[in-house]
Formats: sequence, C-alpha cells, structure tokens
Amino acid sequence: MSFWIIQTLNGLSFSMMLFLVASGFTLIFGLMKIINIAHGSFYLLGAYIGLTVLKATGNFLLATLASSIGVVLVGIIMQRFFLRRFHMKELQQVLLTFGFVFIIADLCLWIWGGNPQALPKPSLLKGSIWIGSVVFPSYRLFVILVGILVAIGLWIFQEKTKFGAIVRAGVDDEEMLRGTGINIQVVFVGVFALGALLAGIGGMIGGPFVGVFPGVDLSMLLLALVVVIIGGIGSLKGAFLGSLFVGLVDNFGKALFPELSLFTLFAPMAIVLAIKPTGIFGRKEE
Amino acid sequence: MKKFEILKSPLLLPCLFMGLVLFLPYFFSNYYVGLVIQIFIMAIFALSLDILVGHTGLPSLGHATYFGVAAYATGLLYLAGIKNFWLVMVVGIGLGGLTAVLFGFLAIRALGAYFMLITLALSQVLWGIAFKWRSFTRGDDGLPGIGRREIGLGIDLKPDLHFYYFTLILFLIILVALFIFLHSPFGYALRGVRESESRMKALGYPVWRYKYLAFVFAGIFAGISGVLWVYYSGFVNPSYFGVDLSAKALLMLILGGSGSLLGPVIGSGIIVLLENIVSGFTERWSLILGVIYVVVIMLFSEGIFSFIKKR
Amino acid sequence: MRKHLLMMMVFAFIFSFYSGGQRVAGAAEPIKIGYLAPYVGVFAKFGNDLKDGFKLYLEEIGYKVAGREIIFIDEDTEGKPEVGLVKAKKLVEKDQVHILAGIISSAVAYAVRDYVIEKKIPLVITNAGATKLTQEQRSPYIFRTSFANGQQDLAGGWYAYAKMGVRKIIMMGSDYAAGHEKAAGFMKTFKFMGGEVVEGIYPPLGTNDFAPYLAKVANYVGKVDRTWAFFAGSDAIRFVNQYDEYGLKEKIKLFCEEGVTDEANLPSQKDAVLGVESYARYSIGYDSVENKRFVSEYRKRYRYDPGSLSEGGYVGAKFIVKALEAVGGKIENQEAFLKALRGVKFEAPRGPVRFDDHQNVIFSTFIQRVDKKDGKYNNIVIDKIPDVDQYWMPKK
Repeated sequence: MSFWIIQTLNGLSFSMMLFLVASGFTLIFGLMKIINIAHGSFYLLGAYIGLTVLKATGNFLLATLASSIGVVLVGIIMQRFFLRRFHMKELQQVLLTFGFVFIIADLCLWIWGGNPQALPKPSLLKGSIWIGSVVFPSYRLFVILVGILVAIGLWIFQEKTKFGAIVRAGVDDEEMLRGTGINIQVVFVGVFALGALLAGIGGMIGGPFVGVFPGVDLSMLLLALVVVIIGGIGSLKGAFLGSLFVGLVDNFGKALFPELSLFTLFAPMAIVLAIKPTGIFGRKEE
Repeated sequence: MKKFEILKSPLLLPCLFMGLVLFLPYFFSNYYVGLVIQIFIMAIFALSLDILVGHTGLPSLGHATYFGVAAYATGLLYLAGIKNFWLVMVVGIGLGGLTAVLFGFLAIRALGAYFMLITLALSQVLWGIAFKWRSFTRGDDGLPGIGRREIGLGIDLKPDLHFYYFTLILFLIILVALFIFLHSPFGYALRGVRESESRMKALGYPVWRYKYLAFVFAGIFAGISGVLWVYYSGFVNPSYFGVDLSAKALLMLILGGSGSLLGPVIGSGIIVLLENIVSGFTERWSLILGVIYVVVIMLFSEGIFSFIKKR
Repeated sequence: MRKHLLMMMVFAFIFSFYSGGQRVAGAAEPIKIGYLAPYVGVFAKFGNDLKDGFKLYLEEIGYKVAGREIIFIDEDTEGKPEVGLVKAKKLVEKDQVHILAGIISSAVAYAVRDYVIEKKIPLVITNAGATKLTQEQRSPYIFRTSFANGQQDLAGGWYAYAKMGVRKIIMMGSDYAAGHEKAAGFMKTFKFMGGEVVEGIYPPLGTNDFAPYLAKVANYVGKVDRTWAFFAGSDAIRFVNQYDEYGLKEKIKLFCEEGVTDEANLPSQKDAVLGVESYARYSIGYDSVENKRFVSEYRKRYRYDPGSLSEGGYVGAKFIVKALEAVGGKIENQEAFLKALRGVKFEAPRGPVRFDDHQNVIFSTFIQRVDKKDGKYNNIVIDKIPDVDQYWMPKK
C-alpha cells in the first residue's frame, strides 16, 4: 500500500513541476503561435538567478522574487524588441528563439560555470515526513501544493479577470480582438512575460530536486513539448491534465517496468500524435 | 571599360566556382577539404528542406528525422557487416523516405505553427528511441567506427580526396535533379500551393497529395545527406535527430534565401564555415552562434542571396 | 550596414584560409600541443577542469622545456565525435601541432584514434576511459594518463568484499558504455571473491527523478549490505540527494565510484553526501607532499577545489613534458620521443604513476569518505590500494 501512496505522490510532484514549465509554453503558443524554443532557457535563468540570491541572502522568497523579475525582464525584451517584428511569421520567430537558446545558455555557462548545482531547499521544508512505514520528502509535498495553487491562480486569471477574457478572445480570434480597440501589443507582451515567469518559477521550484546545469534548458523544453502535445496545444486545462498524465505514467512506468522507460514518455506522445494531433484537450484548429 | 566586360558574363560565377571546387584539394590541406565536404552534405540537407519550406510553404522543424533515420540505417547495416556500399546507401535513403511516408500522414494535416510543432514532436519521438533503446541503437554512446568502402570499379572512398569528389558529384547530380523537379509542372503546382492553397483547391488540384509527395521527396533527399554524413564522420548518435540540426538547416535557408537552388547552398556554406572558424577563435563561439541567429533573422530575413540580387 | 557586415564576413573567411603557417624544423621552433575537450553543454565543467589542470603544469614550467617554447592550442569538441575529428584535423593540418592531448568522451577518442594513427601524431588521452583504446585497439601512438573504465573499479570490487565485508550488493549506474564498463569491472572482482549481485538498476543518462528507482532499492532494506553507484555530473547530485531524502542513506550504505562524490558535486549534495564512501583514482585528501602542494597551487590559481579531472589534466601534461625533457626537446625525433614517453615515471598528486605495456597508466586506488570540516565538504582518504593496472586481479 505504502508503495502506491509514495509512487503516486512522487508522480504528482513531478507532474506539478512539469505543469509550471508547460503552462507557460502553451500560453505563449496559444495566443501568439510562437514555438518558444527558449522556454527552457527561462527555467535555466530563473534557477541560476535564484541560486545566486539564495546563496547571498538565504531567503527563498527573496530569491524567487529576484528570479521572477529577471526572467520577466528577459521575456519582455525578447518579445518587445525581437519577436514582435515578426508577428505571425512562425519560421523567423522559431529561429529567433533558437538563437536565444544559444545566447542564454552560453551566458549562463560564462557567468555561473558548467558545474551542475542544486538549489538549497528552504529550511522549513528540509525534512521528510512519515507515510505509513516509509518516508517522503516534505519538499515534494510543497511542490505539489505550489503546482495546484498556480493552476488555480491561472484558472481564476483566465476565467474571472478581464485580462484573462481578452487573452481567451485573442486565442479564439485575434482579428476580432484587434477590432475592439484593445492594445493587443500590451496583451502580447503581458502573456509572453507571464509564460516566462511560469518557467522561471519552475526553475526555482524544480531547482532543489532536478537541479540546474547546462543542458537542463533543452530537457525541460522536451518535457514541456511532450506534455503540450499530449494535453492539447494552447490549452491550459490540457497542460494540467497532460502534466498529470505524463508525470504519473513516467513514474509508475519506471517503478514497475524500469526496462521499458523508453515507452513511458515517448509512446503516449506518438500515439496522441497519430490519433489526435491537436492533443487530447486541444481545440480543432482552423 | 571593355576589359571588364567579361566580368559581367553570367557564366563567370559558376565557372569560377566549379574551377575552385574541382581543384580545391590541390591548394588546401585536408582540413579544408573536410570542411567543403561538410558544406556539400549540409547543402543537400538544406536543399531537401527547401522543397518543403521554400517551394511548398511547409516550415518543418523536424527535418533531422529523415537525416537521422538514414544515418542510423547506414550505421547499423555497416556494423552488421553488409559490405555493399550501394546497398547500404539505397536502404538508408529508402528508410529515410519511408519514415517520411509515415510521418507525412500525421504532419500534413496541420498548418503553420502547428505543422512545426508536430514535426518537432515526431523528430523527438525518434530521438527518444535512439537515446533509450540501447540494445538496438546503443543509446547515447552512438555507433562509432563506420568506415567507407569500395564502391565498385576499383574506387575506394577511404581517402578524403576520393570522398570529396564523390560528394561533389552527388551534390551536382542532386542540384540538377532538383532543378528538373522544381521546374516540372509538379514544381509549379507546389509553388501554387505555397501561394494559395485555397485557390489551388478551387482549380481542382489535389492539394493534399501534392503536399504529401513533396514531404516524401524531401525525406528522401534528406536521407541522402544523412547517409553521406555518416560516411563522412564515421559515427552516428542521437543528436542526429536533434532540434538544433533541424533549426540549423532552417537558418541556412533563411540566410541564403529559400525558394531557390543557390540560396540553401550559400547558406550552408556560410554557416559551416562560421561554425568551424569562430570556434577556433574563442571559447564563447556558442554565444556568437546565437547572436548570428538573431542578426541573420533581424537583418537578412529574406536571404543574403536576394539581398545581393537587389543591389 | 548590411553590406559592410557581409563584406566583413567574406574577409573573415578569406583571412582564416590564409592563416596557419608552414612547419619549419629547428631547435628554436616552439613545440605545439593541440588540446581537445568539450567546453559547451553537459560536459563543459569536465572540459574546463581538465584544461585547468593541464595548463597549471605548463604554467609551472613557464611554457618552456629544454629551451623550447610550448604553445598550447585548444579546441572545443562539443563532446561530439564528428566535431572532435574535424578539430583534430584542424589542429594537425592547420596549426601543425606535434602532439594531441585531452579528450573527455570515449566516442570522440574512438573517432580521433584512426586519424592520429594514420598521421602518426602521438595522442595523450587525459580522460576518455573506453577500455578498448588501450586494449584490443591499442596503438604505439596512443597513451592514456587517466584510467581505463573498470580499472579502479577492479580494486573497488575487491575492497568491498575483502575489507568492508560486503556479501550482497545492488548495482546502480547510468545506462551508457562507461556506466556498464565500470559496473563490469567492479562486479568482476566482487564476484570473483564470492560476492553476490542481487539487483542491477541502470537509469538513463540525465534522469530527472530517481524516486521511482529508489522505491525498488527500498525493497531490499535489510537484505543487502551496500548499494554500488556510478553517476556523473547533475545525475550524481540528484541521485545522492534523493537517496538521502527517501531515507535510504543509513539503511543501505553507498559505496560509489568517485564520480558520484566528485569535489565539484559536494557543495550541492551537502549533508546528503556526508560520510558516503567511494573509491577513486585521485583523492583530494591524500596526505602527501606533492598532493598538498598541488591542491594549494590549484586553489590559489583557480579558486576552486581540484577534482580527479583536474589532476588528470595535470598528470597528462607532466607525462608529456617529462618525455620532452628526456629527449632534450627534440620532438621531431618521434621514435625517441615515444620511447621516452613510455618510460616516464614520477610522483603525481595521486602517488607514483607509470605506463603499463599497453600504454595505460598504473596508479594507486584510494578508498575515501566525505567529511565536513569548518563547514566545508571534502573527501578524506581512509585506505589505499597500490599499483592498480587495467588488468588488475586480486588473490583470493
């Protein structure tokens, strides 16, 4: 019994971290149709900035704040000065974000060195708790909690606020939104920054257990891609359910059939691509 | 001014170019011969992608798929002891094409950014197989030690010089083949699809079939470059499916100008040389490469080739 | 603006084609050493450690040997064989280097191997461990100053059984060639002595979450004596931290390959790694005059602790320079140089080193434990197994 509880919690904690990264990716894609290859770079940047502040001050909240400001600024610069010029030119946008992958990765290597690191956990969450006869790290419960809170926050934002309504309208029909006289550029910058912020928080939250090191940017991008393809492109609900699915399947797959770990991540994606390329919860595209 | 008249001949540039590539191995060391081989192979790869991007309007972000499949097929067949060079090559290219036959069904349904995302995801599925199915692909260790063999008529491809001319000839054949292909009614129809899919549909063209066939052809030509690359590098590993390779080919197209035959070739030449030369000057070449991506997109978005023409 | 940029690019190409001089023999001519290592991506840290160590020795001798200057030219392999091969060609043909050194990844080493043999350029491998390079596929031109995969592991497997009293063990390592070769080395002597391997778990490289695998290990609490582990870089950090988080650290103690407890990892593993034991070809805690000097010089120069890669680079440079000294700097007489290199012996930071008949280094293997002193984590030596070569076998 305890095996199943522990493994479910493991899977959930990994799912929630995936959700933080994937939700931003899907938001940006949904509204602007930008495939942000540099999305994992926000994770990388967020984690490194957080690590530096954490080492200097020892304050997890302060570190989260600093890394959030950092990635949001970078996101705004990317959108405002580069991507905006190529609105709806997918090819140029993808290649621009790809250039930023190289730039951010190499700057991080330059500043922080290539040594893999793990963010220290906040002191409150260092310990483990007992569930039945086994221990479970309390930090992972915290990750689950954060993931759920962010999911609720995003849901409220999207369904209950005016800005959220504008974004939803933009996803459905951008032309019409332009017609209503809303400054769409502000909406674009805002959503891009929000996407970057989510990935940056993902870096802060994931930093203590996944760590931060050169190459984590692309591995996070890949995970976000798998989640988004399975859950449905451009849909927050899809990203949430996709994360749950990927996190749990991956975890139980590895625990029960370690030799089949190949199929736990990529086989579901391949199947979804074959049957419903817009994902389980994706809308039918035009 | 008369003595400069010859400089304006339209044949001058191609002749100069041919002279240069034919005699290059006699002037430059093996290292540069290797670089030019790289350029030929990457040019074939970029040209194959341009069938999709420049001529059909399908921006694929997973073109490395067919390159990688052909490369793995070549490597695995070689290590399995298949001695016949041409057999390995045909099977490699064929499997590259076959993958495109399958993936075409999945990808062609989508458009624009969705098409990019799906092609990217498909290439990542194959990356996952190559990385994790160790008993078959040897995972991240890759397949080392793939040599070049005799190709018949007593010609051995082992020396770089021989391989240089071999890739050169293949490259030229492909250029001619693509020229014929793209100037056939089929090629014009593809560009019709690129300009306006709905109009072509209204004219009674089977648009889906055109796009699908273009997709398969692109896969086959990419397969050729994959096979050649394995023989050039003697090695295969999962990075051959990497998104960076797909993106690099797109950058070559954008830089050189897509929709032409010369553009992708120029683009691949510039990128291959830049990569190799910049990395010799500084450890921060990866940063510079990133900046090059950004600068190219911001300044030469329509391609250096078209920029020269406009002048 | 665009036109200028374009012209600049064109000129850069033309210029680069013309640079690179011709080799003229002569005693005053500098000796060129070409260096291959990865400086981007996952291997960047390893590449830098290796280079820092290598350059530290060259700095100590002022880049001079027997009156000739040494020029160090380094190139980034990106850890990719095809890139490594192109860079090797560039170093040999454009820069005209006399010796090649470095190389982290075994795949790169294999790719470069055939080329250097063809060109008759001595290659001194300072890390890549693939066993074949100094066994089935050895060559008079290829030397290895680091280790063969499985070499120190042979000693480790014996030590676990004979000295630690381990009888049953779980093997956990990254699922790639080095992981399996190292595990094979360990199991060879461990089983030879009579030990039993009850489970083998090999997660893929770059496993983000070890938790599901650790659940399997937890089933063996009370049934096995130790867990053997080999992970490197970020995998090592996650593995050790999660092994502790899931309460396994005290229940089934670890006995690791040195990569798991590399000095560079310790600040990120903290208390999770405290007391973990491992075997190593180099230990920062080795109490010898030469090692203390090396550690303090290294810290002073680079402001971080040397790991086994740093020492590997340092030793590689010293092997080359000692051989050059022996032939009076006359690298052009290659036969004499290779002969001298084969015979080099000296006291390295890791203790006495020399080559075996297959040109792979022989060294002592350390048993070490992570200790905390003044808030800083470091490995300390608890035992030493002298003269371990790549074919080492214990007596029963």
